[in-house]
Amino acid sequence: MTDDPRGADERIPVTLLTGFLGSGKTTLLARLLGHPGMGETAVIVNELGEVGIDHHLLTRVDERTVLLDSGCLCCTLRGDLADELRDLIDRRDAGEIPPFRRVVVETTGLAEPAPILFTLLTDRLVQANYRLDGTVTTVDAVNGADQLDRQPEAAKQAAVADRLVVTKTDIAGPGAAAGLAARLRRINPHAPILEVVLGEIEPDALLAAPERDLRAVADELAAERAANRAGQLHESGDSAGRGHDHGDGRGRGARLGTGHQHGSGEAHAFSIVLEEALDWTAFGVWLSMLLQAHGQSVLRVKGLLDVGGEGPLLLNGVQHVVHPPEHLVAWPDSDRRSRLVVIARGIDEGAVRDSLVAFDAAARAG
Amino acid sequence: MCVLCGQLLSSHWAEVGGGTRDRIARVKFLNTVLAHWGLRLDDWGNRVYVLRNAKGVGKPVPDLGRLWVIAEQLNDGPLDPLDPALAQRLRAGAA
Repeated sequence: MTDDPRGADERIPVTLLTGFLGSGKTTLLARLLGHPGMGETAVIVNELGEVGIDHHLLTRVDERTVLLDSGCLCCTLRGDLADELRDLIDRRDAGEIPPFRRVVVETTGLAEPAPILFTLLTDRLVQANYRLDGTVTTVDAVNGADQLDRQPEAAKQAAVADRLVVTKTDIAGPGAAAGLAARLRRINPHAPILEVVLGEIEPDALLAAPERDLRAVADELAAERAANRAGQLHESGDSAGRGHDHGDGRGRGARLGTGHQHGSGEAHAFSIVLEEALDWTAFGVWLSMLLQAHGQSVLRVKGLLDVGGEGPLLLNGVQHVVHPPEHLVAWPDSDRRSRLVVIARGIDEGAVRDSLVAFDAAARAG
Repeated sequence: MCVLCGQLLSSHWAEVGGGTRDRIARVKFLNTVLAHWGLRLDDWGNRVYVLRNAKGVGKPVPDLGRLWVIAEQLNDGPLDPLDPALAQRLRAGAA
């Protein structure tokens, strides 16, 4: 294992701060920006609030979207955001504004997260200068559960988060925060859940670092291994914990792990663990096809994949939008099995697993 | 990057960094899958794919992202990778 399995990336990190309506995004942002370590931060917001963050490089954008010909909503270009990010670079280079080391984009409560990610990954100039560092989603302990019930955007925002911040725990009823956390954990088990009152949190605990993202996936793997040993791992069609032979003559195993079974359409996470290296060609064909056919059901895909190289391939996708996969120079720990985490609703988990294994077997036989 | 909007991007995420050998392997594998719906993909000069249906109607395809959109058009319906019959067909071919 190396200290930095990704290698250096000199681009400016962009943190996306999203969250449910009234869940305390601006309060959190204001407190964060008051921290000495956040001094060289540019902030892009949709609405100027009453919270005092004027001493920071603050810019306001009117949400302006461009719907592409495909009609794919999650691939809507946020022209406002792309323009503003480009403008920040131009003004910095012209000496009009001081250099900045980080950008925080605060979205409206109803913003779809995928178009923002799509914009960051699509615009060539933006892509050359910025990298997505992580997504922070605020959920308030008082209204969060109700918003998850009533607003589809809420589940999406929880699903895309790299960090989930539960706010207003000081005024929520007994048990509310714990119940909400349990529900959020089912939707997005690999995002740490942090309880924050009045925005009091250290920036380091909140802003995603690549190593921590990797660590989270590795920790999930370790936890699943432990659950497997305890006989708690679900296995569709097989006994718990056994490998699954699909008759391809190779005995290739794929295990399906879920926190519990879901019969409803509520968003939840499940993982697929593969015992042997994946055929990358088959995987790319399979996932692109899956996202085309079931893109509205699959909210998030994330994983570390063994595609036969020295290190794993890091995969990260939000709905139809998939980051360019990154080859890491080393595995985060001794476990080198591929693991794919899928956050989805209304989809047959066993069918997803069976399909992936069948595609992989066919590619290897060909 | 986006399966629906892949033509707008420099490369589809699943095709980044691949050479001619990877492209040939991809076309071969895609044809294994597409045959389930009577579709066939050809590669013209390593630059553009052409997808045809059983009636011989063909359309150019810039990359893997747009492939599935155009395949739905030529198939006159969705192509579901979770179709159990497809998985059975792929497993039978691999045996």
